[in-house]
Amino acid sequence: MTLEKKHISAAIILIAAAVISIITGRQFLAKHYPETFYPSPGLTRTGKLSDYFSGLQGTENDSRVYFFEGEEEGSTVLLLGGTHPNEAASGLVAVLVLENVEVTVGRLIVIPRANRSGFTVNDPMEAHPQYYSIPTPNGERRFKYGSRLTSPLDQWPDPLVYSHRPSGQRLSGFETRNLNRAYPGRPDGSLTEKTAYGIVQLIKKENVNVAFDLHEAAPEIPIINAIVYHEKAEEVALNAIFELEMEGISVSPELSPSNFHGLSHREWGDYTDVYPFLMETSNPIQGRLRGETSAELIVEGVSPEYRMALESGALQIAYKETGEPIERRVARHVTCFRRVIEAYNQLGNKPVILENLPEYEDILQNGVGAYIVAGK
Amino acid sequence: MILYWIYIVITAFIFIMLMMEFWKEDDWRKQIAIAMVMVVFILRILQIR
Repeated sequence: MTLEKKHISAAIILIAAAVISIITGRQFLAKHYPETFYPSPGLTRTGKLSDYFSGLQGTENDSRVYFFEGEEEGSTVLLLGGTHPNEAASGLVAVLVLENVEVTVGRLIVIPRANRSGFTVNDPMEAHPQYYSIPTPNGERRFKYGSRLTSPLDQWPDPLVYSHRPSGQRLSGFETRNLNRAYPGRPDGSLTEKTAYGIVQLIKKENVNVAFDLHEAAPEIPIINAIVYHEKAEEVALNAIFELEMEGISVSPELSPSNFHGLSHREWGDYTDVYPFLMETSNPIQGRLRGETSAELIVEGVSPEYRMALESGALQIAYKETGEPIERRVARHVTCFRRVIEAYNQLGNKPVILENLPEYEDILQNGVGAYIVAGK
Repeated sequence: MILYWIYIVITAFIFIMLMMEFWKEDDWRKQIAIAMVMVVFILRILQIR
């Protein structure tokens, strides 16, 4: 066999393809390495979601669960971050809380990465970055930026129509991978349904009294800068929102629709004894009007296109002239989280006392990086 | 799970077909075009995602 010219070029091109495969392969694999968190000294134990539902063992969504237990008995609070891994403030608030909080009365349970599978990929056709960085006094800390949905490589294929169980509600097929359309979940369902089932089992077995699911949404979405609550938690929600308004933090109260199924604020409340709250902030990178899509947009939240939309007055959007920086979004979530717990305590329930969490103005002035450990 | 392995087998089959075309191809520009497609299939077969 003689070596032809075409074989020489083929060999060179094949080597180049192999090099590209190695480089890109390493980048894809890096998205699977677990992020490192640095819990505060108040941490008493850790667990995994598979402790509550063994069907999650060995899957991407066997997420770590962090427990902070006070010396005095009180109520139990659950804080869920990363339900939608493309909503950066959600996961970041959970990290900030678990790296600072001290619990003196009651218990706090934190799941910073509720849908870990979603952190291993990005949404297709969105040009989203794989990571974003938060500056801290000791250097930058990098966080994963993921997809709204469970990775299709962990749950595939999508049905044409997603039929929610047990309600029978029908949604677009891709919603089968949306954790916040899967509650109360099923032990023999898809990975997303199993994850939802595991979280509901945790709420039941740990006798959780108050639960938070943190989110972000595009500036043009109507339910934004809002607290969505189940009807049984209305008094707590409205008391908290009253306090927040008195502080100058505008928050919309949104009652969970009784006929919209699969969402945490509906199904946690219907299937368990918990008081559920879902909180939303405004994140321009999720919006349809955004221009250049970059890690800076996640952190700084400045979009000239949204500014034009704001100035036009033609749209009802949650976007300020200075943008929607991560500091303000995190500050809103942390403050809303605190005020809801304070309202819950004031209404005569067994208390939960959380200490060492920054106030709204502290986060705005010092930045989020002042309250998280620098990456190693 | 069986669907997943069917997917991998189909991917491997297409990759072999691409490889055969790649070696037969005389034009280096077309070889580059085939190689660009092959990168995706290599990652899929190695289950790097």
